[in-house]
Amino acid sequence: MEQKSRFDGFTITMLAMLALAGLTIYFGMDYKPISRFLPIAASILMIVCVLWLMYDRAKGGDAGEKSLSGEGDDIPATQIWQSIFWISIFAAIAFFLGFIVGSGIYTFFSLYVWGKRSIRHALAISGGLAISIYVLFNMLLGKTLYNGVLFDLLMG
Amino acid sequence: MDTLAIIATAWSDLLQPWSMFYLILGVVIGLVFGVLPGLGGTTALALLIPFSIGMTASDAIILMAGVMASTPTSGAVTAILLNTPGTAPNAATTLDGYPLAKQGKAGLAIGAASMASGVGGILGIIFLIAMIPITREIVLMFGPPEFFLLTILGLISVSLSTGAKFLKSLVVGAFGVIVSCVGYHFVTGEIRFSGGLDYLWDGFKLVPAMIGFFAVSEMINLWAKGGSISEGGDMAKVNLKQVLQGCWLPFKHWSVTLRGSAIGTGVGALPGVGGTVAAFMAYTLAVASAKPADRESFGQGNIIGVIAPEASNNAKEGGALVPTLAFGIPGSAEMAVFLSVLVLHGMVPGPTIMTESIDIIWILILATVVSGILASAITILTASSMAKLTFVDSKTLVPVVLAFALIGSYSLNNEFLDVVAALGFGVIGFIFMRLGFPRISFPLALVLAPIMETSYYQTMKIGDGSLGILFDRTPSIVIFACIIGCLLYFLKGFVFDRSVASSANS
Repeated sequence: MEQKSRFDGFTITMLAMLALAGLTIYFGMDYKPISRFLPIAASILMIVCVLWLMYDRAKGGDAGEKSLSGEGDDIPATQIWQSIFWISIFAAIAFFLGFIVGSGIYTFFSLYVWGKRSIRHALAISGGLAISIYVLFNMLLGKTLYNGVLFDLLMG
Repeated sequence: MDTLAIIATAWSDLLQPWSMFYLILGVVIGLVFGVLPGLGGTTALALLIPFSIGMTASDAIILMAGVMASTPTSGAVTAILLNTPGTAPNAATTLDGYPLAKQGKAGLAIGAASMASGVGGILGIIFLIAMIPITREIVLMFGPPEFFLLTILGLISVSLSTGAKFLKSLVVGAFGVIVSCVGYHFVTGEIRFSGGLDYLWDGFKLVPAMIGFFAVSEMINLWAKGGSISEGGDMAKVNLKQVLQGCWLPFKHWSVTLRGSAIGTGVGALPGVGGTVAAFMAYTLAVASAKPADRESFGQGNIIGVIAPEASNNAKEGGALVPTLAFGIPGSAEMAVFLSVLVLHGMVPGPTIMTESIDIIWILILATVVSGILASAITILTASSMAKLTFVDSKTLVPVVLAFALIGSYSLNNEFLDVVAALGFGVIGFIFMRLGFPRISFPLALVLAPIMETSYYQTMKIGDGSLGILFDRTPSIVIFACIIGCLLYFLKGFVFDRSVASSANS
């Protein structure tokens, strides 16, 4: 049977899980018995399951067949990692822009129109955020709001 | 106050203009999220939690009930028209629904599916109503040892329901338990695993974690995939006359509808087994109980193959609410999120909820029934338009959902690090999703771990530090036997299947 020893997404994730379980046990031992019981029990369970999965895979089982580069489809791994990277960067930028825009809207309306209510604060920021993310995503995809989605909407 | 007076009060509360607005809003949101494959009820509920904070408890429950009752109904539309189930349990509907659509009977299938969903939902709720007096008695028999074992059983049975992914599910569950342990310990006062960050003193918040793990991860996946959710498919035309004809069929085949609903309710009440199992069980039973001559028509467009899983799929909601409300043990990821809504609004699921918050329970029951009927009616009238939602491009869908996800994470505590946490859990959830790890165990572990820890502490106190107390009482022995049974079932399958496979290979 073919031996599987690829150092791929599955292996990296499993090693990360082992490291997490190891660190949990290491730090958990400092706590009193009643507070360390659950994290250490969960870590031991995790270690057993991860080792079992890795062993199963090495034996040719289907436990770790799927890699980050595809579960039934053919999205390249690089595209996936790029997506995670860009979605994080753009969401962070959009969030700050939305925060600034939304806070501006909120400040204006709370001074002149609304009373001070946190839900309105959240709604104002969500409006700013939604617009910011929308614009940034369209720019990321090589389209501006003007000639992209808005144009499609206006022109059918 | 007697039950009739409580029901009357709950009904009048539901008929208030704002309550009706939230109900309709919940139904519309649920229908949209149900029709979009990959999103589903869990994502919708997670996204709505922060917005429910400013509402009264009854309005929040009504909104959530609207979502929960309508999601499975619209999921059938894409299953029938596009061969793409909107939610996982709708997969069973594709088996006969899509062949019917190809034969030009899409309207018939959608009408039957929507009506079966409505009837199934109502039957499930009747089961819940019947269980209310009984569960109160059962719950009072349970003490800390039983709750401790019940949380373990919940996690194991959820993992068992994932079949061959049992070990993977346990890994995700253990990860969830570890995550839930971060922060202040309620007894000893120790700050665990905070890494010196003040933000982590209260632990990871449930809402950002849920939003990240479900909504953000789905958006990353859609972003990586690109394009729209449905790439093509036969967009069969939906004839309204046919739809109305289809509405009659669940009543014509009443035994199939009743049987499907009974299976859905029963399976839904078991923690962790879930709607997919219920839908396929109902389908399999429908095939098995058909006349031998009719069996061959299943898979080629038999309307009974649509009615049975859809009735079962919606009936499971009523069943799943029983362990969620009575024991605080959610039966599914969706119920785990719903549980957090109850807790956020000051209701503690378990023995007390049946007495102290019985008015809210009745509002939930009535809202679920009305939402189910409303969702079926809207689906019947707008099925064709609904299916078009799946053709929305990712560059439109991702930023809109992501904006709601991030602002939802932020608005709960006006805390930016909650947004970072949501993004972080989004990446982790995405990695688990891509590697084929069932994500259902994570929210369950997050909700169950504090209950597990509390009941473990109380058990130790009652038993003077001895675990022997776990085997002193009949209910705990029964639950322990169920845990052992689940583990033996897994080991039997694992060892037996492997030995059969290896002997076949040799």
